[in-house]
Amino acid sequence: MTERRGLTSRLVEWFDSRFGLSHPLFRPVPEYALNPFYWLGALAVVAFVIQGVTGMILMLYYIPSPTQAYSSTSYIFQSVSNGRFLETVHLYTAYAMIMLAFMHLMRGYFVSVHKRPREAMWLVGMLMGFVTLGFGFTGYLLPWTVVSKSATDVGVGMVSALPQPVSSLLTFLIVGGGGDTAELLRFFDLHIVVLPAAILVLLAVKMYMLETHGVSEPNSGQPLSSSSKLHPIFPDVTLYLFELSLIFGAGMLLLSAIFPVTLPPEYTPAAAATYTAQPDWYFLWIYQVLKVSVFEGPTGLAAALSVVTFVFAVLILLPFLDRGATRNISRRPLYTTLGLVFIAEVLVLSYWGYITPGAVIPTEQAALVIGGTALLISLGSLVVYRFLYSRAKSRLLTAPASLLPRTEAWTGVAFTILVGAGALAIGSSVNQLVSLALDGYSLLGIAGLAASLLGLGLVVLATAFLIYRLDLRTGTIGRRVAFLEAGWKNE
Amino acid sequence: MLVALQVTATLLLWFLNPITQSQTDTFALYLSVDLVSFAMLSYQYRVSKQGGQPSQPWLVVGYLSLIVLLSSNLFVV
Repeated sequence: MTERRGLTSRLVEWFDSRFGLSHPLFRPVPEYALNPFYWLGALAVVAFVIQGVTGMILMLYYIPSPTQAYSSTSYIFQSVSNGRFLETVHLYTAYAMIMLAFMHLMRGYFVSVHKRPREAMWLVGMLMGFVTLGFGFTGYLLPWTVVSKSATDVGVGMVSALPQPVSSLLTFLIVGGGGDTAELLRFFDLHIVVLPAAILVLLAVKMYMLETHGVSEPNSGQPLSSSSKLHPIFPDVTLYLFELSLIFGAGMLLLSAIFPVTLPPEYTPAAAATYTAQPDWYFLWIYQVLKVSVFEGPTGLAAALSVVTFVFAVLILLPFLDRGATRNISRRPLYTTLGLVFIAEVLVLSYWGYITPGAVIPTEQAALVIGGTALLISLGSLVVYRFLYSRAKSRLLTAPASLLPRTEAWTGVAFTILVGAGALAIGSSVNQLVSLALDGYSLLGIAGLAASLLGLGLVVLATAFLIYRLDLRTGTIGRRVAFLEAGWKNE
Repeated sequence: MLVALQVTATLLLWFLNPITQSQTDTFALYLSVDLVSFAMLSYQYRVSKQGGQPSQPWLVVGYLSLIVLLSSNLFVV
């Protein structure tokens, strides 16, 4: 007697048999991967699909011409049914796509997905991240408002500071022969044709690689059970992604309804002259670095871009820098701390940039904020890892003489004061050097520089003396180095 | 109950003509109700097909969010 199957089951089987959704080409997904953190990248793709749909509707009304871009956008806002809502959904989903891509990047960083054999996946993913930022940069200009045009002009101006032939190539790509019409048309073309095509190709490559390598294992260091349940792509994983997408879509709709965007004034040269240019939130941290006074002037701009390029280069080349075999987050203190510092710096610089629009940042202040953030995060990470190590100590070494808790507290305080003073001394020295170079030599300037360098020298001496005293009294440094070495050998 | 809620929300969306801001807000709210209830249905179907039980906390969160969304409509001006 045949078993009666429900309507839903029969529908699922119909789709599967016609579309080949449960074909062995798509490898099943392990149970541990049915976790939202494994699907941040997929949600970014969902956001991209929403962008495509809303973008196609907006394109029916938008005119990519400097004389009509603003009026057509304004028409969408005021006269098109649900036009303002559509624009809001398009904007907020763009922000969500960038945020999800960043979360996907950092999640992958902390669980070491860049390690063998997924190095190439990491590189493809980084390219997709840059394309995503490109979407934001190109789309921002299209309404042709004073806010968007001013911010884009800052970005385009930075391109000229890049080395040749990159500068010429990028200028040709985004500005063409010059003039507002060429620029807007190129941005529009990049936004709706070139970048979508690029991201689809990269997505196909990444999905192929994902099918080759499978989902990365959890980095707990514990071996997985061989009987770990596997879920077929269809219908289990498809339904899971479907649920996440529905919740995400509902969230975007609600945000757009509760906080509808308003269109800023139209761009005119007169309006731009009185407006303080500020990039969109995802570029604020880069802009804040550029605003530091030591980077003023054409050569300063190149130096600032070099700093930002260095940060991106480290991220891109991460698979070739972090070559240890271990993926366990508790056994990678250096890279975990660096990742936390990066996130903290991006957040702090972005917020700082938001509250200081157009303001030049004194070098000393920048050194204090950037250095202080890095110091705080590093110390916090040190405390956490010390706690982790103290639990592992008894397994790796014979029980050492324990440090007095008060001694440890004073050690921490002393180090904090010394490193803080060091950051101040470095900042002051750099500031004095720049002042001497720009304003010329003066007795006061030389005396200030000498005092800063003297302060820096005293900090270095005091730090060396503290380390020497610590080691004399407790043997702490020798024990910790031995412990770290034991940990590295186990990697 | 979820299916009934979805049908009701869909009918309301069909007949709603969002011209003013408040009508657009109502449209977004009811569409969100549709999406969330559809997600809950899919979750219960998927988990039961896998031989498990739907997580009670997640179901409570889902139903609470539906109640909040439906009641928010009363505050739309």
